Amino acid sequence: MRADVASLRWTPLGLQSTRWFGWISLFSLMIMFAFAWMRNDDYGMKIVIVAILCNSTIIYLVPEDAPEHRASSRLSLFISCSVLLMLSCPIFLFHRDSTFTGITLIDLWTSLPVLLVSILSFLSGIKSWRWFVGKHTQSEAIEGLSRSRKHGPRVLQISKQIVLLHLGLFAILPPLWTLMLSLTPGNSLGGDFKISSITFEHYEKIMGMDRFWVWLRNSIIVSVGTTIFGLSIAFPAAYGFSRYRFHGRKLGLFVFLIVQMFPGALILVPYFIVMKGFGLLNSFIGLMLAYSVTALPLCVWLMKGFFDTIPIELEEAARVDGCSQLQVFIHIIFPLSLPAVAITCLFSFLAAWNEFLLALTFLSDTDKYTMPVGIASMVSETQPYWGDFAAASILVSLPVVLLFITFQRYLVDGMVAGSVKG
Amino acid sequence: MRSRTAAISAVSLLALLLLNQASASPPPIVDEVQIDGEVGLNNRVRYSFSTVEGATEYEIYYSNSYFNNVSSIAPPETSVSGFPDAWLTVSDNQGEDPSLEETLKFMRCWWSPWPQEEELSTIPSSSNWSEPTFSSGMPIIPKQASSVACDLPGIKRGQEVYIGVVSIGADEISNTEGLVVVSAITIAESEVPPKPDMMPVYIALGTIVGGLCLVIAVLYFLSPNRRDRQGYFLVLPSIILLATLTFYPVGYGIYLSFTDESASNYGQGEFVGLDNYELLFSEDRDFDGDGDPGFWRAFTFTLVWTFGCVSMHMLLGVLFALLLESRVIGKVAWRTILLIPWAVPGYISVIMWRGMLNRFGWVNGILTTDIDYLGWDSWAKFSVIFVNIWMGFSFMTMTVSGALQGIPKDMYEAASIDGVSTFKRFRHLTLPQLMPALVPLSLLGMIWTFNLFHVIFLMTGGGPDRYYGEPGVTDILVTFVYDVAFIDGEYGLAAAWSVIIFLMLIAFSTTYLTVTKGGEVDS
Repeated sequence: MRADVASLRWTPLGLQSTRWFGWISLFSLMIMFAFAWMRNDDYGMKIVIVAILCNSTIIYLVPEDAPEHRASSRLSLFISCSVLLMLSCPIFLFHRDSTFTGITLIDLWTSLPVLLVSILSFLSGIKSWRWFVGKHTQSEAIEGLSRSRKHGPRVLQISKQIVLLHLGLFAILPPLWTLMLSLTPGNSLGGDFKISSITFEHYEKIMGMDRFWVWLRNSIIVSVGTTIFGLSIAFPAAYGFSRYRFHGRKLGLFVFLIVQMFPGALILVPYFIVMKGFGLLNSFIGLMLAYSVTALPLCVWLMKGFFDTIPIELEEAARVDGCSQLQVFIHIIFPLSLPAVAITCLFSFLAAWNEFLLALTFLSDTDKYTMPVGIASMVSETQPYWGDFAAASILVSLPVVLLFITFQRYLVDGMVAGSVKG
Repeated sequence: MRSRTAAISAVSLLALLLLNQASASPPPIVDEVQIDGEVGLNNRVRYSFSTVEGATEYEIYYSNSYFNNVSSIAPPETSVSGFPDAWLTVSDNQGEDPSLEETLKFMRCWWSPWPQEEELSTIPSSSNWSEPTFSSGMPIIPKQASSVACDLPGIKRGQEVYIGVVSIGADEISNTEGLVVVSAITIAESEVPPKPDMMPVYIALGTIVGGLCLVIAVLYFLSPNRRDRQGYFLVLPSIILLATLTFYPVGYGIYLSFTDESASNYGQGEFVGLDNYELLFSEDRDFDGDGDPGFWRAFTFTLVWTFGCVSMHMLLGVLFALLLESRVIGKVAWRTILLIPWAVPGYISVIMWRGMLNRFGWVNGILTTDIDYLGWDSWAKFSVIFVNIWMGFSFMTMTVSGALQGIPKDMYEAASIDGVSTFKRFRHLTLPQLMPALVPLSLLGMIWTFNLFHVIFLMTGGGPDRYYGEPGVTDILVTFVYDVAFIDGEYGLAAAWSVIIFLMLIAFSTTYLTVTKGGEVDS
């Protein structure tokens, strides 16, 4: 009886893993197709289409559970497809006899999973022949089942790691490229990076550039000013909304919520005109005002949410003991809310640190630029100082990235509460 | 009040008509060139010239300084020294290769079998003129063409530009002796507008602050609870700040959209009613003569951009969050790596990608392709969306995986005992429980993406093809408003665009607030 169940539920591991890798290779085939198309490589495109068809057939043919329709015709289709698939990759790689420019890394990378899946399906096709046509013995099934149980999670793990590896590469390649660029001599954009020619000339140049430090100073002034000013307004407001039940409280909270949806671009033109009128255009005060009011709703909501979690009994007890409202605030509320204040500070600091649009519009004087506008001005058509840009951006983003990694959980939660990132 | 279209100098230099000394008779010099700097907005000029006998090709040179032979050209910012900036081929074989046409969008030109017209500004709508066909990216004009008009876009305000046309004969011989060069200065802001009267603004702000204080005071004395009314004092500063720096500008912007305020007309805008709104859709804003003033083009791409980005964000986010939440080795490391696109400051990521997608950049090198990712229409659209997907997917992964952790695990155990397949488990267990988090998240994502300025601004600046006073190929509404306001200096019109954007956003926001039940105001 047990053996019966085993033979019913057993699927050869090779087939299962073929299924997993099949999806991966289908994806990489799509990418191969895109590349062939981008190169105007008609022949390559045709081959990839054949490969995609074979791959889809394989995925379709590999059953997830015990197969209901076990037919040898299906098996032969399966095997011929895997052979075709196996062939199509080398053809894709080597067919370009006339215009052969060498196999690039990308070619190998895209065809590797396809080769893998075709070989895998071919091998497993031979091995699970008997299973496929339904002639396996019960002892085989039991053995196979235990094998699947042992190695199945491992195969799954490997395929997951492969997907994650690609994803990780996708995520990290541009920053890596920038790092590479900052260490390459000259200002070229290509990938002519050699370990032997690593240079720190760009870093030295940036460090020795007065304007870089001026921009850094400006950014720090604006961000710190925004944080302090914004917090000093938002803190009492959040406390008031959390602790006092006055008329119009709900309306006020709703207004704070709505304001977050206002687009920066909508306020931009009137902001610009009003600031121009007040002579605040090339000044940090205008920028700080604008930034703190943009961050205000989020700060209020974040801290209000935190105050709501502090039990009101704590304050009442203190007041019974004879504390004044101010003393309650200083001795109870403030120490307790320090973590929330820290996170809110981080938010408004980062928002001001990364903001681009308002700074671009308000600041026209190079000495008044904040870091974002400054760095963006480093690469233009006329002055493509890519190496310097790369060095500067590594220097600027490293602390920010570390902050993000450290406080990721809070930042994610806060971002959902309102829009921050510049 | 100064007319916008003033301050043009069109100087035509006399040709030094030297005797033709070349042996294999080059075609005569193109000496009837005229220029019209007034066309359209401030950032392009239009020129025209009469064709000459025996020319098979015309090379057109642009420069920032005067030149009288081709080798002494100081190129404008976008071109390579000594090379012509545009070509025209003369042929009766009318090539037609629209796929390549977009590579030379900057060469917008027209030909006519009649002599040159005086009024260059009417060319696109004039029936005498027809557009050339294209072959291998080159515009082809037929032999019977007797005059040609072209646009040179991408000129900065107040920049002087020189244009020279060289005719090339059958054996690629040409005569550049006595090249006729014309120049124009694009419209410059020559006078500083008077300091505007800020009194109305002071009054408005004072009224707002005073009114708010009054309302709060009334509420304060009316409120029955002695303790709770202290709350007004705590809330008042933030309300005042919000009113003066958010609601007042919004209101002022709406008012601006009914005036003709502009950079040259600063502080003196007059009430013009709904003119700006009509202008958005009117023929007057159709500068490139394709019968479309650009609003719908920008609007369509905004929708494509918003939905394309957000749907990919959600798809990738859910996929990778599921991967990260399942049993994987090195979860923390992967999570940290996936965080990076979100953590790198946005403007840096965008410039980074701009470098990588440069025609001579890394992406083309690695893929062994030769594609101008930011210069060709469809590729530029694809690139900006792709870059934004890169920038946004990690945030979605983080939020979705946060939401996934809140799903109770016992149902999965039951499902695995019943032998439910992976996909079915996702479809019937995970997805329904994830939906309450996904729907508001995607709406929020749409609001953000709709408003996202710096990606497109720093990648393509809205281009290619953005110098016509109309939205470029990759311009979304928000980036185009910036151009209208700060490049063209038309504040009133920009405000009208903003109001329309605002109305669209209200639709998004209302949906968002309904879905999230008013943001759980009193949770």
